[in-house]
Amino acid sequence: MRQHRAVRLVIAGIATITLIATACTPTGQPSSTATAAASEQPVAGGRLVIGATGDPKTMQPVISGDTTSSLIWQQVYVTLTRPNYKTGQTEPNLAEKFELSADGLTLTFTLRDNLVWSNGDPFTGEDWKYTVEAVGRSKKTVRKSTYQDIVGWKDYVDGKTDSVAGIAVKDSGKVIEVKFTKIFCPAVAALGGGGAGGILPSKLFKAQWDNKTIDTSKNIDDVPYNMSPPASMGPWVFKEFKPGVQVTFTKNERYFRGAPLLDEFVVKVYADATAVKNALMVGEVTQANIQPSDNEEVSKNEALKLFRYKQSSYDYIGWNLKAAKAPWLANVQVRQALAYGIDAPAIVNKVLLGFGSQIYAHTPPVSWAYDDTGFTKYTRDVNKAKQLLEQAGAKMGGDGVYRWTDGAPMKMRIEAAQGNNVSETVLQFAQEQYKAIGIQIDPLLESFNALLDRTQPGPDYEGFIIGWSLGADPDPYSIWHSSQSGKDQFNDVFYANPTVDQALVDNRNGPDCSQAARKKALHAMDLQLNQDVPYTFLFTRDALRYADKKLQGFDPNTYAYLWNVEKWWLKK
Amino acid sequence: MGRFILRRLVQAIPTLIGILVLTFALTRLSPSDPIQLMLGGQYDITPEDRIALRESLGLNEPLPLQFIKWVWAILHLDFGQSFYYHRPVMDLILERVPNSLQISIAALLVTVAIGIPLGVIAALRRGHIEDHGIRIFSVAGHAIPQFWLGLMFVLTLSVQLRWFPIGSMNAVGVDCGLCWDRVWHLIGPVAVISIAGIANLPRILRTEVLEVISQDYVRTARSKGLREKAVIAGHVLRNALIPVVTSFGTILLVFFSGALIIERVFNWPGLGRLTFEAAVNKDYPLVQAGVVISSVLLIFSYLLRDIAYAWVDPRIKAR
Repeated sequence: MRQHRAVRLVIAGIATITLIATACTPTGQPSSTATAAASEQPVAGGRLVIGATGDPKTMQPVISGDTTSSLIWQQVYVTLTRPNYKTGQTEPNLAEKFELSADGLTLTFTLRDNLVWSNGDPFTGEDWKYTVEAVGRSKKTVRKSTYQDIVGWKDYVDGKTDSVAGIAVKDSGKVIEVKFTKIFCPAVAALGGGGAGGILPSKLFKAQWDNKTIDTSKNIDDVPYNMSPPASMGPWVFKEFKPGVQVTFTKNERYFRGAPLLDEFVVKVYADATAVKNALMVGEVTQANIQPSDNEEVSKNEALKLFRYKQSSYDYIGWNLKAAKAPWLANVQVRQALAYGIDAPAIVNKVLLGFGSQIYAHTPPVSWAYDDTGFTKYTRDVNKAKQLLEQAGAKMGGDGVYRWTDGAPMKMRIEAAQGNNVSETVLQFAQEQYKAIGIQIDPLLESFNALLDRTQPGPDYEGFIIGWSLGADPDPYSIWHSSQSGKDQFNDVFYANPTVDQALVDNRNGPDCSQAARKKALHAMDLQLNQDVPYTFLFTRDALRYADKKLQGFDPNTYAYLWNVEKWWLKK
Repeated sequence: MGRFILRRLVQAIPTLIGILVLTFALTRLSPSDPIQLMLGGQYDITPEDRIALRESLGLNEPLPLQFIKWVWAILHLDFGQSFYYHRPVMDLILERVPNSLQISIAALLVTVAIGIPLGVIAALRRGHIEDHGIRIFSVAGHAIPQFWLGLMFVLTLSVQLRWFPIGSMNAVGVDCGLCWDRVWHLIGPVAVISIAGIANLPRILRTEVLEVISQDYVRTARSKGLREKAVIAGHVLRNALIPVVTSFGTILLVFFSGALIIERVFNWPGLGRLTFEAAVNKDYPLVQAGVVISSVLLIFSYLLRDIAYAWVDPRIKAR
């Protein structure tokens, strides 16, 4: 239940696209860092081309799960709130105000005045309610958990009622009041921006699926509008989809932040990240994210300009605390030795060419919840690592490999995704550097999906190299809470610590949902994780985004790059 | 002739069943889970949401039952809904077929237009430098993998020299079917796919021409005083081309397997790229339909070849 969907880092390219695809629309204040052209007069017209890998699978948010799909529907279906493109803090979007009541059980959104869809229909709270109810009845959605704490949610899902009782639309559609069964701090960000995401034009969609029904056999999953958005609240209006080629949009003259200066927006489909980079090089796409390894080549292109910023993601080596073949991983000193045993900055230099920085706990440095006070900053120290292993009870064997307390040599497997340059390099470093501290590594490369399958919580894996791409509103409950180690759950290292459990619950269920209280709770969690190192936290990567020098007003950052797209223009 | 065709049709049935079983088994037996792939490891998906998704796709049923349901649906020409695109598989395939045909037909024309003259030249100039040159080209054309050739084309001619587009069917903003822009975009993929076909033709044709050229009727034609061009076109080529026509089945196969990779390299929105991406995404209904349809097309083209052959050479029927 998060503002943005968080995703395992797949291949670096896809991960960055995932993150940046959480595009948004702007607040209206001019940006302080906006490009040089402030003195020049913006010119209207022109076309913006963005590259995507793969066709959109749907053009509506309810059943959307992939990055191309969200890039498409975010242009037409807008959210009530959004994360600030730079800080990630929740800020107004279609709603000018959002308030959580003192008891934390009622959330009220107040919409801006005079909001209209591109076809002239007024935008009201009914549109939001319709979208939520569409999720409730969808069989293909994975968004249901977002709304599970709303009063009357389950009754609607099960077809006992024809409307979610806890959602009231008041003041002729201008006010949305949501009642919860329990306090859930991330709800403000999740219900305003995340969850289903964009809001559907209910008046039009109702003709294809009516939400006011108890018939649960009908849903929105396969209605024709899913592939042809009929109206837009965003900067662009859907024009045409050519499968395998592109999706074309024209500007929305009724966009509530003002009509875009550019005439046309095109999402062009490419086979992979390399093809997108090639398109950037020849000027076919206006801007794109690239891999650090491509930076040298792309930076030589005189027509392009670099935008570099931090990402809300990190890479790590996870250690299975219940590994059958490596019982020593349950020992905190051994894990600390593993943290001291590897040179994260050297990996950053080698594979990210310096475009990244070492991290020491879960919360990414770019988050508003980040606080590194009291962290142990692990740096490679072979002697210290060996000392810790010996304190834990390990004894050096004649072959240079430590023996664990049961006499078994400290030998274990680390697995990583094949074809992922970053993971493969981390694996090489781990193999060499852990050998130096007397631990033998048996490396395994496999497909990313095989890696996900193999790390289904269980005793059969030891170490694994992977990453997290995190949403703007922090809620790492499903990653670190001790209850989350079942099938298909994500605490696959079997970490369990009462302090962390409590901190995670505080961050979620308050009762104090203020940012200060949540930051405090998350810092308590990070401090504990920094000491217990169930992961060897490695580094966070920088985004390297290149844009055509002619593009003006472009100001991408961690949480969004399309947030002010209506102000972009192309210099002649 | 009718009995021959019927016999061939009946013989195609076991092949078809084999294809159905293999296609189904291969997609299901390969490791990793389509649900996992669809969700890409998003960490806030609850197990309940996953189970619901699995059920909605019919993946919780036993494999034999899934197979029977699938075959039954295919018999009704229903290939089901794509897991990924939430649309009928047949629609997805039909909208891509015309795009693939453009490449295939263009490649076939280019192959014939270049391959046949090369074969004739190789035979007529046997032992000369032309013959050697063509043979080297044939071997190289066979040996170089198409995907490599495609990548080299894109990297050098498109990205570095910018002589050709980097891929796709049209430039952004241009929307036309038969126009210069489309031809411009066809050059890369057609050139790469044709090379394998062109490499194939001269080998077959050279042998045939050499055989026919020593026949009595050719000598007769020459002794009648016919010009050499008329002898080659009217007497030699007409007879030498018969086995070549039957080799088009193989050439089609080359085009088909080539298109799978080449369409991806050149970002061409055809059936090959669709199938390739579906396989990567584990979109079972789409991969299965793509493989089955292309196999059926191939069986059908082999059938046509056999019939053509039987028609040309009646001895075949007797076998």
